[in-house]
Amino acid sequence: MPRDPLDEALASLPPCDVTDETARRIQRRGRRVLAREAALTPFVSAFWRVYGSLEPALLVATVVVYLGWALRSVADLLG
Amino acid sequence: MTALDPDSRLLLALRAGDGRAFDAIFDRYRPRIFGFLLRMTRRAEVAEELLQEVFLRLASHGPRLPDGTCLRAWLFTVARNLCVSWRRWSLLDLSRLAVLGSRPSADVVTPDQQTQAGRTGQALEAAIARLPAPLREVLLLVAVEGFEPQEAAEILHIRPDAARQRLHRARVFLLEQVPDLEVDHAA
Repeated sequence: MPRDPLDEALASLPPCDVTDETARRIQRRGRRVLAREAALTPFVSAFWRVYGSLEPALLVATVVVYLGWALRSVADLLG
Repeated sequence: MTALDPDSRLLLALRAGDGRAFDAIFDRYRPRIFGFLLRMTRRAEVAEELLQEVFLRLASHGPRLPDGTCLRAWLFTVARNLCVSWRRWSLLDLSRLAVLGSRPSADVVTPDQQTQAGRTGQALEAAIARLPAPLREVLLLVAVEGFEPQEAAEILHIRPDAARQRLHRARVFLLEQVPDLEVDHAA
């Protein structure tokens, strides 16, 4: 089935690109950032693993403390 | 066991901090992302800045990207979001230009100048540049970059029917602007 001329014209628009110098500069910076992040990733993952395992307990503790505070406030008001 | 597509393999290597994977992704997507940014911003220096930001974000988020991330869609989503931020921040400058009744300065490099496209290509580039940004971005993603309207809608954070509607309006606009459309195979 023949393609629509507009689709064909749009798909055949030539690509644009930056100069080699700009490309190399961005590439160098990107690699530096990647190396730094890759070195950090094990620590970040470990943090989220620990946090993830503690999160339900932290949530329950927060709710219990809040309910305790609310009950105490009500008791104070009534008493 | 199914073989991984090239992007998934590159993403896997990138998550392990492999610099060569970053280079491969950069070489593969740089012209396409730059073309999108240039056609959206119409300023080469801005497009270069945003291109750098896209790939710095890839480098900083790459090691933590979840399994199954579509790299191409992720890159274009970041590029599009950066364009939106840039447009918001540049409103002040644009309003100044409007008040002064002046045009963008001579340092603006348009995609048709950059690519030295053929006559049809130039007419098309000029028409694309006149499209309102919401129509232009969906047209570029679907017609130039080959995303499905559904994928483009996800990138643009809009409903798929809204993306299709914008695409239709963009196509109607282009056909009005470039009525004698001939495909320029030489370009």
